[in-house]
Amino acid sequence: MSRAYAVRLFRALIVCLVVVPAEARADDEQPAARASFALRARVLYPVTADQPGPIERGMIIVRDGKIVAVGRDLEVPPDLALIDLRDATVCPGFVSAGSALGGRHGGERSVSGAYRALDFFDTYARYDEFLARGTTTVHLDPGGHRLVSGRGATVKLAGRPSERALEPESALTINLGVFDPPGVVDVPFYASSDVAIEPARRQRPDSRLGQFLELERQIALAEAGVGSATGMFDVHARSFAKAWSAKLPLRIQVRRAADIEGALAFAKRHDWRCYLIGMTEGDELVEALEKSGLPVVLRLEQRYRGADANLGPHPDALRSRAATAGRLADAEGRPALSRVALAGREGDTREDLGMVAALAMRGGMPRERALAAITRIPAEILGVAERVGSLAPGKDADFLVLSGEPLGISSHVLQVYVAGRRVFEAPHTDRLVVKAGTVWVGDGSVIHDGALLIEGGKIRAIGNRVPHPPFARVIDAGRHGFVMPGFIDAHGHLGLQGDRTRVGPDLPIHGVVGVAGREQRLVAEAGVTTVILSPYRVGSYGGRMAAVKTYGRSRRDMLVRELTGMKFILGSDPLVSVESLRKALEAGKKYDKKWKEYYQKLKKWEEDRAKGVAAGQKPKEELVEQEEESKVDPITGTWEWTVSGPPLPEDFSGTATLKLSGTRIEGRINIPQAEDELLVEGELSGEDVHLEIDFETGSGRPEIDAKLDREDHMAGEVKLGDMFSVGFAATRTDKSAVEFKVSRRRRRKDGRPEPPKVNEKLEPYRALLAGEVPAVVQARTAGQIKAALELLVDEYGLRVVLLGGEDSADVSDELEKRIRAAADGSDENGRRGALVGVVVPPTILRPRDRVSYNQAADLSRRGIPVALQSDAEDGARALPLMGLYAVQQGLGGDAALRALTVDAARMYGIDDRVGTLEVGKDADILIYTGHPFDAAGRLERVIVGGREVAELKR
Amino acid sequence: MKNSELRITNNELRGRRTSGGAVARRACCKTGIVVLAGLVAATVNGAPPEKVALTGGRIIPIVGEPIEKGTVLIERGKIVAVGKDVEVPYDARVYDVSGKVVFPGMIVVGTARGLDVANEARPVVPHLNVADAIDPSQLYFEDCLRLGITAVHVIPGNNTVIGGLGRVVRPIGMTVGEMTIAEGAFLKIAISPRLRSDRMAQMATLRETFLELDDYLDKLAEKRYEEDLKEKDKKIDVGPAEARNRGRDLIRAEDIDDKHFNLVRLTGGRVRVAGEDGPIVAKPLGAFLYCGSAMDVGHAVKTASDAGFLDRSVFVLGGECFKAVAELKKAARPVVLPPDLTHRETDPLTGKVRETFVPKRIADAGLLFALVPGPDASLAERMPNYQAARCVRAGMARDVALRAITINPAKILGLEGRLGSIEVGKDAHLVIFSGDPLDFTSVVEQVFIEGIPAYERDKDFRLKRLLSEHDPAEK
Repeated sequence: MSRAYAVRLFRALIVCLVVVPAEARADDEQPAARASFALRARVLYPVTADQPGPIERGMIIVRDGKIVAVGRDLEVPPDLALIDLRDATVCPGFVSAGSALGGRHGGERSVSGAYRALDFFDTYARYDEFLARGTTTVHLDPGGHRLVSGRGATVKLAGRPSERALEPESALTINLGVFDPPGVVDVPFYASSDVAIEPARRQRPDSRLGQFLELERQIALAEAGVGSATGMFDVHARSFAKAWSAKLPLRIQVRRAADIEGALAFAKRHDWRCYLIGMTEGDELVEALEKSGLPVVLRLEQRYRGADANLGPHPDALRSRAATAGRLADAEGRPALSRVALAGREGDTREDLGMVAALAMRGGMPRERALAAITRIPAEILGVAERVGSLAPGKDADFLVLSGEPLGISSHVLQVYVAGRRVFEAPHTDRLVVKAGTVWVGDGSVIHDGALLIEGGKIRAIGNRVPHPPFARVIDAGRHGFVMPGFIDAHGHLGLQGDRTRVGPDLPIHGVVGVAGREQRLVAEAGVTTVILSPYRVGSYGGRMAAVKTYGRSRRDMLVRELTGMKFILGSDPLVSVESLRKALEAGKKYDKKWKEYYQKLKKWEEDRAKGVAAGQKPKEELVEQEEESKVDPITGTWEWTVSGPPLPEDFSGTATLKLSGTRIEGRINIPQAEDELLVEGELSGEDVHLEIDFETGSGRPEIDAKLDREDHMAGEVKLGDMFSVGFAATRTDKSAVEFKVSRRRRRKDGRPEPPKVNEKLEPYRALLAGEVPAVVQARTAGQIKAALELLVDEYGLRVVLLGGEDSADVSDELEKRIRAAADGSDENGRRGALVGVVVPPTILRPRDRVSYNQAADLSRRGIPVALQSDAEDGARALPLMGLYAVQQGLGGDAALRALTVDAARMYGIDDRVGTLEVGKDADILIYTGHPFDAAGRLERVIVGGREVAELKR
Repeated sequence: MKNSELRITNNELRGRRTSGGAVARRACCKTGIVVLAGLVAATVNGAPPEKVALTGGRIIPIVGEPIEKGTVLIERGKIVAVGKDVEVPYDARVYDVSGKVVFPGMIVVGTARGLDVANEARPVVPHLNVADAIDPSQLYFEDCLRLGITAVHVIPGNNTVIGGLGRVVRPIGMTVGEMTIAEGAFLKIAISPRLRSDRMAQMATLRETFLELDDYLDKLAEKRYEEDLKEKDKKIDVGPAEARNRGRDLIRAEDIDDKHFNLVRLTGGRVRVAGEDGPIVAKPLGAFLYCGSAMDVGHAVKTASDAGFLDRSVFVLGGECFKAVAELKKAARPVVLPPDLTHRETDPLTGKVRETFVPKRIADAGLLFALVPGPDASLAERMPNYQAARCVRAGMARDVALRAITINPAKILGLEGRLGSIEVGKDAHLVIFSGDPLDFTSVVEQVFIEGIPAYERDKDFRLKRLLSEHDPAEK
């Protein structure tokens, strides 16, 4: 028996070593490393002008970094891998037209075309923080601090360094409402008495009056081809003239209504390609803007990371209004400006376009326009719309993979693709949010439009809106989704592989659990997440049952409880079998009593000691030295011993000095390999010698069992637990009494009580008698059931689960009474001494009194908790269908759900971990479409311990 | 700063003799005050000994296999024989270096040490020359001897835009003139911004400098044409554009002012007017382009190729520049590695730290590279051989690492005919190590510079003080 289990254990270990790394590899290796692929998402937002809305299960096909097709149900070219993101939303990367990434140049000139924002851009840097906020393309600005601050650029924030610049010179930046530039000092080369250092030259504009004067003067110079007013070499004026004559688009940053008006007049005068950015007071001039037809980048200046700035007493202080976005986008129900892009606060180095869009929507901008305003529209304004900003054939494959819809406040960016390459992947977390139209909690309540947060394999939150920690994955089961706890097989044999050996209660059956193999996987895929693992056959002392999961990476993941019940089988004659059961229980009770006494003593001792400590007495721990004389007897003397036989490569021998006092043997043994002598002690009973060597090997102490087969000779074996035994023989060479000292650490003077010896056979009875685990009694007939209940419940006060109970209908009144009594809490411990439920036989419908009988339905109607069992190994995968059949045959859908989840968990006392969806419980979750016990209910996904059982084969 | 001081090199170049006396006097005064220690003073003065022989040592010539128990014969500062069976002339001064290692003098390919300050306050100073600021009395040079460095390319620091001309010196000599091994052939140009500046301003200033040069030469050509007409008593007969064309070939070296002369040399020594090449008027200069981060490499390549000095450029790299290895490979120019050989980067989202060993990445790209010592504050990294040892420890081939502190810097500086290895015909810059140069416990025992015994460990007064051979408390 034990060998069979050991072999199985070993096998599980091998599986563990081989399977787990393979799984880990599968996770790492994703086809997305290539720039050609097909991708399908839960929802796809192309954000093109023709298709602004989402496409469910939309696909895109990417070749060499460019999109070649977008749509629903596209055919995947045979050479491309399909990435199926069933939980993720895909939308174009956000485009920031007002990013503060450029910084501001340090030059002092009021008007200069010499500064290029691209010079500032680090093509090698990793902009993970921007990518994590969804921004893939930004406009770099040379600064908003000078009238003309230089030439801007449009760049991507990821991808190959040489491919990041989309538009190296995208616009000439003009800033209105910026006054008082510093003076300019021209230091002459070799200043001397002839060449004096001039005082700083003042620059315009110093007021709103001067800004257009200065601008027009520079433009006049540029158009005349002079380049500078003085005739001296002036790189700033020259480069401005160059940019102007190259007809670089103008980016006019304006905030005040007065400046906006000025900008509109200026744009009209010069009829240049230009756009306005800023527009804090833009809502005052909606009509004029509408007439001008100029595109607009609206900065939403509201602060949200902390309190907003105090405006002070000034009545004209610039105040941003939430409604500006709405008014620019939507004038009395019709679109006002056709092109409005959104941008964050000026100088915001952590611009979050998702948040900006949220602000705009709160100000009245429609959702669809808000999404376009951070993707397609800014791309158009920046002149890069043929490359980025929307998902359409011919454009770059720059897109975001989000955990939810693009403008959802709880959505997180999980991946970012630029030019078809995955350039960002959210740090891996074990956090998962599951959302569904219906969440069946298991405690009787149902949450509509509910969600769960799973963290570290446990449920952390449940409700209508749960926290979405950063980078959490989201599974949205949709409106028809039905989320419930995983099914429990109340009596199964998964993993025993047909081993029908009769076992005793010393067998730790949880030892067969290794890692989820094929059989476990089949059961898990059916939705059965926990199996009460039981031996097929047990002896009269019963056998242990364990609660194990069907999926997990390690034994630790998979083991719910090592001991979750004791299985007993009543023989056909209740009187006889009850008697043998009573004998076992008596032995258990005796053993339990010893331990209880020990604990009592220990408690008392500890209390005494605590008092002693309080009184200042230090607890002493001393070695007791005993010195005893000895006399001649069958043991005392010096022995020469030999150990032999496999698996030892050769015999070896040594000596031992033993002393008998009463029936106790004490002494020392010399082992050639060990440096010191080791203490031995033991007992002599008749001719049997039992010795224990005081040497902790990690698997218990070596023991010697020998028989005094003739005078001065003993023979037997040395054992190390069950692992190891070799032959042992010894001969006494000297009978003379040997004086020796015995030093023992065990009997302490401080009087700490000794624990009793552990008896593995009886150990489970302690939990049983304490009511921690139920006695699971296989009883068939009314007589068996009655006898079992009388013995176990009434006499021993145990919690009892009836296994099978085929004839329970005959005693249903009594069962009902007992259940009710337990529910009333007539016993003060509530849980002790009660019938807690019936695990109905695996055959749902069987003939009884010549008619079909559904025991589960019958008992359930009487209010007796029932659970379903498979009594099989991987056959347990039919359990949900058995439930369905039971429902068809009269068991209610809710009752079937309870029977397969919470009721089974409560019977076995594992409801603190599984069976319901409550905070702190294991995240064993089934996601159905529709009710699991409706005809069309379909199991979509299985999550065990927070990890999804990889895609179900349907 | 006075005009005459600035002109030393320019004058020499142009073959004009003006008095440099003021400078020399000042330099002498300075040196006179400071004790260059009994260390060098006694040995350095005067001509090198006629013949010197180093016998019995293990010679690591860098070029070629090591020679066990070999002899190096030096005559008038040059190596005349290297090998096992070299006959030592009767009149040679013989140094028995049995059991020791003879190694070429190590070369620092570029440093601002040795200058009183690393950079001028103004950003664009191509007319400056480090010759005016090298302080022969600096302890740095004494330290060089102690560490086995026999040639230092002193060049302005990185806090500049165009920083001035460097110069290769040996760490012995009372005046800059005595110290000089070679005139500077490189200007320092920084692509990374100066302190309190930014990249936009830095790049704008760089572009402005070259645009202004074009403008200056255009105007100069015009002026030269007018002057020429005046000499010939003719009247101006053409418009400015044609005048430039006609004046282009009239420009002589002395017409170009100090501010622009080195820039003209940098762009190839050729006068370029109105977009067309004119005559070559001066010797071309190269540039040490400082790139503090990877993004600067692209700008550096573009700046250098636009202005026509890419094929005379050396890239001085900062820590993360290995990321731009593809661009560097394409430019195929030598690089100077950052003193900190390991680059560390922290992921902002996960906080994980990634380390990269930079020399490996550069060596794998097949670039010619030189290692430079770390800051003086670091006791170990300021030794070039320690830097090489770290490379070997990180998996680089031994000879590749050794070349990076000897022959590679010599090649980069264009002095591979004189320095960087132990070969017949080269200057006798030799270091005697007590053991293998890459061994932690080896020390520099002796240094020969052009045959002059420049350093002996036994006579190193400061080292003795450091090693406390007499108790400082005694005094």
